Amino acid sequence: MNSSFALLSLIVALPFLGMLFVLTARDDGVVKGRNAFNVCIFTIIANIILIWRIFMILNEKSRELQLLEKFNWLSTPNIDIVLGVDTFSLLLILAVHLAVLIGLSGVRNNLYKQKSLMVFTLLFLSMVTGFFVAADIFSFYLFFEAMLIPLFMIIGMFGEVKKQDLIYRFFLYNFIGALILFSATMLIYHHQGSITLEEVSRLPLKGGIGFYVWGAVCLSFLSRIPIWPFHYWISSINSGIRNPLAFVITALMPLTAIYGFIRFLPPHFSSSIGNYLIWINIIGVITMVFIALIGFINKDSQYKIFSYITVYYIMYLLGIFTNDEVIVFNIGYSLFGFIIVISTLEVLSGYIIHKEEEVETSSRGFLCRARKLSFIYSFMTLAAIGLPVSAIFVNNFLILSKLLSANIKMGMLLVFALVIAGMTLLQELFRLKDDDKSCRLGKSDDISIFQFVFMIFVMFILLMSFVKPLWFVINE
Amino acid sequence: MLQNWLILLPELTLLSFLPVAWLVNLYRESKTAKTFFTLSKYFLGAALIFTIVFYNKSVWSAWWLNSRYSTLFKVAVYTVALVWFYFASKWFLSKNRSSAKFYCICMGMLLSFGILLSAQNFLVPALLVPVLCLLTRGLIPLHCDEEKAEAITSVYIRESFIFWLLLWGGISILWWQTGSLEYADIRYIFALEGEVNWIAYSGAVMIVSSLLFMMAAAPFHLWFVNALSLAILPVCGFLTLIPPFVYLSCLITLMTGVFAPLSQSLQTLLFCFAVFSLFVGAVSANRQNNIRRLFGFSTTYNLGFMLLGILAFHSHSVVSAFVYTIIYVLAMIGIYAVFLGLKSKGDYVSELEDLSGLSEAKPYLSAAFLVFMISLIGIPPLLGFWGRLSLINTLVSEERWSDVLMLMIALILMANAYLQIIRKIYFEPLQHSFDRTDKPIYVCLFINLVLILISILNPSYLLHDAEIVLRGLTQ
Repeated sequence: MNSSFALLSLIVALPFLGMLFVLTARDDGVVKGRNAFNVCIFTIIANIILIWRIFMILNEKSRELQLLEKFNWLSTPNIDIVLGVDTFSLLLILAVHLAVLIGLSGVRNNLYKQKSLMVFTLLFLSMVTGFFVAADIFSFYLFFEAMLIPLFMIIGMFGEVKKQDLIYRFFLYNFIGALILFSATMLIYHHQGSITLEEVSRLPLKGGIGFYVWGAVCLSFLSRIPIWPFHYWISSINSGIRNPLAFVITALMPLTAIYGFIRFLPPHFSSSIGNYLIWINIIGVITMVFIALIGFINKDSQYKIFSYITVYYIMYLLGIFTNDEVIVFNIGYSLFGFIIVISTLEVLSGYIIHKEEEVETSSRGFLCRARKLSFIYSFMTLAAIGLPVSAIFVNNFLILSKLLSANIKMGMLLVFALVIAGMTLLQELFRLKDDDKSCRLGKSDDISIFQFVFMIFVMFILLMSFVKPLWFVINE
Repeated sequence: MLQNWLILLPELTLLSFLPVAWLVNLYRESKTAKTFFTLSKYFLGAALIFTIVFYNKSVWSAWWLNSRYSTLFKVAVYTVALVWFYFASKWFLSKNRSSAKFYCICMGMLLSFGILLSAQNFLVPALLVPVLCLLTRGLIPLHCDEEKAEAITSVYIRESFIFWLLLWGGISILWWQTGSLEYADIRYIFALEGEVNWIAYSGAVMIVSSLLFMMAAAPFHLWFVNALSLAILPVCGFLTLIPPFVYLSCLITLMTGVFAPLSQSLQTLLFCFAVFSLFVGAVSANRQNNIRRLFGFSTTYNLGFMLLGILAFHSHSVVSAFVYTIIYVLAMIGIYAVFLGLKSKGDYVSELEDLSGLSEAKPYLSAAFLVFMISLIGIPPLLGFWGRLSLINTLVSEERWSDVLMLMIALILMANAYLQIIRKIYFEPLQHSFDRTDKPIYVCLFINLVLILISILNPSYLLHDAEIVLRGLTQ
């Protein structure tokens, strides 16, 4: 299906244009980044409406990329840029937009470099949207690497200053990963020319070239997932970020790798590096168990959320390796709920930490006094651990059953890690609900009515996604 | 007769600038730095127009020949020089120093470059290269610390003297072996002989080596880096932005024209220089605290990158190298423009430490700096990615996998050096106060940024005609 209007280009361009507007926005002691914040919110809402519109004209049953937009980008080398979406990628785009919107609700009163934060957030959003709508090898690589700069800047500015060497490593590892993907892209181009992602999956790359191309693709995506040996620096960066929006954006990074695996995972992929996939599975499961246990014993609430996120991302990765098309769609639906849940949890957690630092007291028992916060936090924790209140429930059940049937021993370890990750979140919830007289946080420290209404809206989205994943789509 | 003089108008215009500037300097009382910029603007603009008008007309075609190819490079050189002269005038106005000598020397160099670009006989470079070296020697110590300048320029003159001797030696050998100094004759004789003897080969090596010295390829790069660390900003910018086009063009002319029968053997030599430049530039840039030295090494690295890509000297590699050079120069113009906007208590910033927290004091300059550096690393979606893509695509199409690997390792090293600057600007607290930046600098930066940001949407329009010209040269 070809679109008559360049809607896909528009959803990539709109955040970029928003960024240019933010750049020109006034930012001084009087305005305090409010203009930049408003422009950012407006841009994201406008883009969400556009995405909704695209859902309307999309054939949700089709597995092929739709609304294709193609234009010749370069003559030397001859490269065509092709954009296209399917339900899966569009769902992820919507999830990312909602996650950023939720993240923005957490930085509404931020005063530190608010304008820079908005600029790089919109740039990131533009690049990540481009990544999800990329339908050919070059645009896919282009956006895969391009999103590194806003990420690097956000982490650098809003991560802990002491960990600056870690930022270097973060950038360089990811840059190396991107360069490895670049070399694979160039090899594919050299053999087949500028081709679409769907054609890549049918490429008869065998022998050494097949091994190198698929190995490089695999390695470049793995470099973005907190799986051993890449887990250390990602975890250090995540636990060092105190800005909720920055944390949400950083937590979206493994999503790009998960999506990359789904787009690139053809049958040839398995045949070329099939012997190594089992090792990735083993390393993945060990990392899951390891990080889940560390999260459980760690007292830092940020790290707890990070460990939960990591465990789930690795589960999705292992689900992809089953190479089952139905499971891939389950992963998409589950990811939609998962991203919204982790963003909300992070924003609430960030709020609690901020209050802790402001009043200089422990947050133990805070939820007993802050009813609105308690309601939302409890709901999100229960949704996160897999109770039937969001799309995570059914779809994770299907993914798990598939993984268990594929390999019972590994599946059991995986379930163990998931239980520990869930317990980690419950442990934090219990701590916050354990009424402690020494806690100096009171009812007045509860979230504002505006935030509460917004969070109720988020809860509504989650609940509806449990009833029907694509409930908001009204087909024309 | 009159027609011949008309054809020589580009060169005559540049030449006539010198006496006019001398007279103005001598007799005009109310002269400022802007006076000489205005003069040079008109003369250079006229020379640019005449170059385009007489793009295929030549007077002494056996000595120098105007063609579409030489015109392409001349237009690039004159345009970049025109832009840089404008920026340079800001420096002279701000410091309230005389700009007469700077503009005169630069116009002299541009005249020499223009003739060198059209050269068809080895006597032309034999005469012009020493002139260029002397002019460079005059340019480096302009308005800077005399003691340090003396030390650096004396080393430069000694080194360049050795390379003049090499150049003259190489040319003499070629004359001895072929009996001619004309490019076309020498190529014809080499092609006729089939196998070229080692004496002629060593002559070619000597000529190419002296060219590499002028280009500041490693290990002959130190004069360039030292000059950048010492010289004033207008000189640094001129030495960084203009010569790459000229020497790239000379290299292409020699390798595709005169030394085409020797290209296989000379490729090995160029390969060694390219790899050495690539790694010396990238590794050394990581160890610099002076930003100008850092960008000096970055130039050496970029030269290595470009040389590695152009080695095969076929149409694809020549176009890729040209694209890479254009994009590199665009980014470097921006970086030097940012330097011109960065003053702390009247002094231009030169140390890496001075950039700490720049984003707080100068957010727009910092953003521009960030964009230019990302473009230099070659990260999409900026124009620099196109340069990287073109060159690496050339290597992949030639199946030079080990070269691709080397480029990527060097690229990572170089990216690390740029990250140090980004870290200082964005992640560290403000340590200095910065002076107000002129509005025209912002305007120029904006235009440059638009070029870098918008051109990536459809890069072909930028260089469509250039590609046709360059393909024609190598076919």
